[in-house]
Amino acid sequence: MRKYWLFVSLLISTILAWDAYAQIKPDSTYYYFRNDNDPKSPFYILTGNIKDETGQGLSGVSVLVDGNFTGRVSDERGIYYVQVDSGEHRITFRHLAYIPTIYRVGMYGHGLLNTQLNPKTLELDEITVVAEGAQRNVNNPIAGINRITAKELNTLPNLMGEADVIRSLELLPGVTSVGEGSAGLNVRGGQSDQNLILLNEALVLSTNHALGFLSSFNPDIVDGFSLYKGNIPASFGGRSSAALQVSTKKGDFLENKTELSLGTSANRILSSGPLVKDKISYLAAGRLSNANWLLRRANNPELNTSRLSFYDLYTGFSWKINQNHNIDFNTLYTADDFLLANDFGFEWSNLVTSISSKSLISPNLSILSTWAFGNFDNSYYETDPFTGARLRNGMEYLQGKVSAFYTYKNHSLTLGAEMIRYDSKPEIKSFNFQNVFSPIPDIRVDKESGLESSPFASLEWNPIKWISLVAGLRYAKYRQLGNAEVLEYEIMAPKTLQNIVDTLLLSGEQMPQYQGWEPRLAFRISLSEHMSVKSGYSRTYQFIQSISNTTGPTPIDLWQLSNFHIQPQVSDNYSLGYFLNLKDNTWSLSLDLFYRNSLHQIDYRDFANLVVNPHLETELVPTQAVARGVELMVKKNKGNWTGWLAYTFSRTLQRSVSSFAVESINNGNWFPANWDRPHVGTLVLSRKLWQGGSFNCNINYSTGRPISGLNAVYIVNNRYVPLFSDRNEFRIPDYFRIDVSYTTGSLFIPFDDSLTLGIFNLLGRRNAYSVFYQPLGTSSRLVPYQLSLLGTVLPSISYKVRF
Amino acid sequence: MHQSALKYYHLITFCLLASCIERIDFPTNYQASQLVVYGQVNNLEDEQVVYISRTSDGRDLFTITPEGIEVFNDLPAPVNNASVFLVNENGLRYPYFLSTEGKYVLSENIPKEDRENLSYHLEIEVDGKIIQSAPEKMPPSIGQDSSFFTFGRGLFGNNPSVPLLSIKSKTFIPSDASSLYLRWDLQSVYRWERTQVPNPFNVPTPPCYVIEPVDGRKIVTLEGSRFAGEAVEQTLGIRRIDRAFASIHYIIVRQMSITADAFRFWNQMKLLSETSGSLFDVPPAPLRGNLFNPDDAEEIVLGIFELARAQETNFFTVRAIFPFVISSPCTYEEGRNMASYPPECFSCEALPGATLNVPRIFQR
Repeated sequence: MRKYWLFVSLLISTILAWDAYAQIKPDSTYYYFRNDNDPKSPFYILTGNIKDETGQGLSGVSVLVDGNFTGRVSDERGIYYVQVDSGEHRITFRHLAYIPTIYRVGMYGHGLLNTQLNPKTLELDEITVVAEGAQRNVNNPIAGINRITAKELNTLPNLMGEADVIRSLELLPGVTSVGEGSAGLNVRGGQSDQNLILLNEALVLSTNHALGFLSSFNPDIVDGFSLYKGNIPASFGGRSSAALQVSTKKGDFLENKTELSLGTSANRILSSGPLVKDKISYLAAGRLSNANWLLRRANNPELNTSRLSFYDLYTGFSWKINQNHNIDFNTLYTADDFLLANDFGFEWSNLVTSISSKSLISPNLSILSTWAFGNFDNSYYETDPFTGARLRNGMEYLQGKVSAFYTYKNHSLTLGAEMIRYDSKPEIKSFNFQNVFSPIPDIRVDKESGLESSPFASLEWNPIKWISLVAGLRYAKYRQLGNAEVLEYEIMAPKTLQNIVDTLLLSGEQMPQYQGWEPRLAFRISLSEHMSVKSGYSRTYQFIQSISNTTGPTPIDLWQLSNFHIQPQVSDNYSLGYFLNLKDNTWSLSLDLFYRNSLHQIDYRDFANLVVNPHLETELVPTQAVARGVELMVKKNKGNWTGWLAYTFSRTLQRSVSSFAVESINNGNWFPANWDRPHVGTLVLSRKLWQGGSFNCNINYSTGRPISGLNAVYIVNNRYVPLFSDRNEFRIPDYFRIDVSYTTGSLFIPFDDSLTLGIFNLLGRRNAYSVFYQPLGTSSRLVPYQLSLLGTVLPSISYKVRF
Repeated sequence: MHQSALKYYHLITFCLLASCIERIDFPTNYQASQLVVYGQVNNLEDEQVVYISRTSDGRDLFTITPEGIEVFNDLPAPVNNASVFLVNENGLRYPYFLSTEGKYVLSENIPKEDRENLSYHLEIEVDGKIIQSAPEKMPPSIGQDSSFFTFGRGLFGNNPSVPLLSIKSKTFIPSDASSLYLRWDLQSVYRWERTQVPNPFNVPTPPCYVIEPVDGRKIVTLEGSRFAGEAVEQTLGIRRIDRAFASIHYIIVRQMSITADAFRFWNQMKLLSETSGSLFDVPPAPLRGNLFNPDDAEEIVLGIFELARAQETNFFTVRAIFPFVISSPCTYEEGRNMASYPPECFSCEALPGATLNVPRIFQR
C-alpha cells in the first residue's frame, strides 16, 4: 500500500501546487511589459543586452523560458532576442562561467530586458550550471545524448521520401538495427525492446508501420526528439538500454494553419489553430499510405487481392489555464493492415493518449504530471479454410507520473514517482473467423498483469566552476497482479515439459515481485570552456520484454511481463566521453566509450515454439549480454555545409548461463548477438542552396550481422537437410548505401511550399538482409541465397504546402 | 508462416520495395564425418530399411544440376561397414544386411503384431563405436485417408503457367486423437515406354519403371488432436504434368502415424525447408534426432529412427484423362534419325530412378 500512498501524496501535492500558484506575487526581479499600442498577440518579443561584470557584451548566454531552452543565445555583442508566449514566465540567463540570473516577466507586449551576469568564483560554491545551446554537448553532464530537431529530420534523405524518427536515429553513433525493414533499434548493444519510447511523457509500445520500414510517428507532428544512450536520467526507467523522448508540436494559439503533403509512400495532412484564441489550441494530423492504391493497379491477381495499408491519427489540445499553468492532451492512434494475396495477413494498432499538466509554482519550482493510457493490439492470420487460424494478443496500460523540479542557486532537484499498470491481453488462437470455420475451440493462454512503481530523485550540482555532477536514484519495483497458476519444475533440472512436477496456485502476497535500486550517476569535468570529459553509470531494471523467435523484431511481437519464471532484466551501463567544440562551435567532436552488462536477457532455444504457449519458460534461455564499444562523432554545426561523420566500433556478445545442455546455446560460450555489427559508419551532409533549398546526402556502412551458416548437408528420407553451425557463427556481407535528396525552397509564390526529390540507395546496391539456403533450380541441392529487401534505386518525390 | 505465404511476402516486397533474391557465394565451414542415420520400421509388408552415411567436407567442385551449375560436393558419403541391429524391448536383436550403398535392409520379417506392440531401438556398430537410438513404439492409431487429385495450371518454379497435378487427401481423424501425429509421403510410380523400334521378330521393348518422390521438398504434417472426429482435406503435394504422364502413372500416398518426438523432428525439418530469408524466419539451428553415442554424450549423430504406423492409398492417371496433349518423346517415327531420340528412349539407366524391375503396385 505504501506506493499507493506515495502516489496519492504526489497527486495531492500537485493539487496544492495549483493552489499555491495563485499566491505567487511579483518579486523584485519581476518585469511587466505592456504597451497599449501593441496589437494583442499570442506571443511577444523579448530582447535586450547581456553584459559581464566589466560592462562588456557577453556572448553565448543561453536564454531559457520556464526552464526550457529556447535555442537562443546572445550574440557577440551580448544582444539576444526570444519569442515568448503572452503571459507570466520565468526567464533564465545562463552561461558556463557566470552565475545564472532568473527573472519573472509578464509578457503582455514586446519587452526590453537588459541584465548583467557575475562571474563564478571559487568562493561561490553555490553555482548552477545548466549547459544548453551550442555548448550543450560539452557542458551537459550527461554523456550519450543525441538530439535531432524537426528541421534536421526533414532534411535527411529517407526511404520513399518519408522523414522518419526511428530510421533517422540509425545515422547516429551507437545506433543500429537488425536490418532494413526490421522494427526497432539497437542502442549501444541493447535489444530493441530495451528502449524506452515516450511520446512527450507517455509510454509507447509499438512504433512501427509497414512491417518496420517506417515508424508510426508522423514527421509533421514531431517537434524534436532526444535519445539517451545508456545514461538515462532517474526520471526515466523501465527499460534497460536507452530512452527516446519524442516531443510533439503544439497547436497555434493565434491563427489557423494547414499543411498538406503528398508523397510516394503516404499522404499527410495537418491542421492547427485556436479553439479559443490565446487560450486553447488544437493540432490534428493524419497520414495514410498509398500502397493499396499501387496494389490495386497491379495486373497480378495475387497482388491486387492484397491489402497493404497503414494510417495514423494524432490530435493534440493545449490549454493555457492561466499564465503559469498549462494542460496538454494528446492522442496518437496508429493502425496497420496487411493482407497478402488473400492468404495471410497481419493487423496491429496502437493507441496512446495522455493528459499532462505543467505548473510553475514559483520561479524555482515547477511540477509536471502526466496520466496516460495505452492500448496495443496485434494479430496474425492465415485464411486457409482448413488450416487457417487467427492469433491475437495485446496489452493495455495505465501510466501516471508526477515530477517536481526545483532549482536553488547551484542545485537542481527533481523528485517524482511513476506508476504503470500493465494488463496483458490473453493470447488467443481462433480457428473460426472470416471464411474459416472449424469446430475446434479457441486456444487461449491468459497472460499476466503487473504494476511497476518507481519513485525517483535526482540532484544536479555544480560544486565548482569546472565540475558538474548529477546523482539520481530510482527504486524500481514490480509486482505481478491477480492470481497465477505456475508450473513447478524439478529442482536441479532444466525447465522442460518432462520435468514438471506440480502446479502451484499463487495469489496475494505469494505473487512474484521484484525490486531494486537504480543508481544513476553522471559527472562532467571541463578542461576548458570548449572541452570536457564526462563519465556516467546507471543501473536499470526491465520488467517487460518482447518475445519473438524470428530473425529480428517484428511489429507483432508479444509483450511479456516478468513472472515467476521470467526474471526482470538488469543492466549496468558505464560510459566515458571526451567532448570538444572548435572554431566558435562550428565544429564539435565527441568520443564516447561505453560498456554494458545485462543479466536475464532472453534468448530462445532452437526452434522455440512461442505461440499460445502456456509454459514459455520451456522455450527460453536466460543469457548474460555484454556490449562494449567506442563512438566517434565529428559534427559541423554552421556554414553552408553542415552534417556529421559518425563511426562506432562495438561488440555485443551473449552467453547462456544455464548449466543444462537444453538451456544452453553454443555450449555456454560467448556468441555475437543478432544485432552485433562491429563497424558502423555514417556520413551525413547537408548543403544550403539558393532560395532556402538544400542538398542532402547520407552514406552508410556497417559490418554484416551474424547468422548461423552451413556446416554440412545430409539426406533424410530423400530430403536434403542443412546442418547449421553454432548460433551466429557467420556474417552476412557488409552493408553500404548512399542516399541523396534535394529540397527546393518555395515553388509557388503565394504558398509556403517545398518539393523534395530523393533517391534512396543511389548505387542500387543489393545489400543483403539475410542469407538462407534453398534448393538450387530443379535439383534438391541446397545453396546459399541472399535476400535484399531494398535491392534497387528507389526514387521518391514529395510535395508539401502550408497555408 | 507457410511456404505459399512466404512466396507472397516476397512478391509484395519485390513489387513495392524492389526486393530480390540471388544466389551468392557464401563461406561454409564443412564438418566432415558426422554420422547420419535414417531408419523406419512400419507395419506394412515392405522392406524395413536404414540408411547410414557420413557428411562430407564439400571440398570438391563438380556439376550436379540440370542447369549445369557447379556446386560443392557436399553430399554425404554412404557408410557400408556398419553392423546394424533392431533390438526390441525384450532384448531380441534382428540384424540388417547391406543392400546397396549405405542402405541396410532388415533381414527377418518380424511378425506384424510384434512390430505394432513392442518398442524397438536401433543399434549400430561402426568404426569401433556403438550408436543407439532412443526406444520407439508404434502409435496405436492412424487416420483414414482417401486420396484424389485435381489438375489445372499454375506457377511452377519460374514458369508462370504449367499444367499441374494437385495430390489431395481427405483424412478422417479418429475421435480419440489426443496423441495422434501424422505425416505424409508421396511417391510417383510410372511406366516409361521406350521407343519400339520395328524388328524382324516383333519383340516388344520392355518398359522402364520410375519410382520417385513427389514434391520432395514439401513436408506435410498434422497434429490430430486439433481435428478429432473430423475429416480434414488438404493438398499433400503438387507435381508437374509432363511426359511422365504419357503412360500409366500411379501416385502412392503414404500416411504415417508417428510419435510426438518424431513429429517434432519433422516439423523442425519443415521449418528449415521453409526459410526464405524473411524477417519472419525462425532462426535456423542444427536438427537433433533421437540417435546418440552412449559412450560419448558429446558426439552428435544426425538423423532419426522412427516407428510408424503406416497406411497407403493410391490412384493412377492415364494420358486420356488430361484435357491437353501429352506427347512422349520416345514414340517411334519412321525415318527419324535415331540420334535425335533422347537417350532414355533406349536405356533405363539414362532416366534417374528408373528400373526394369516391375514395382509392386504394377504387379497387382
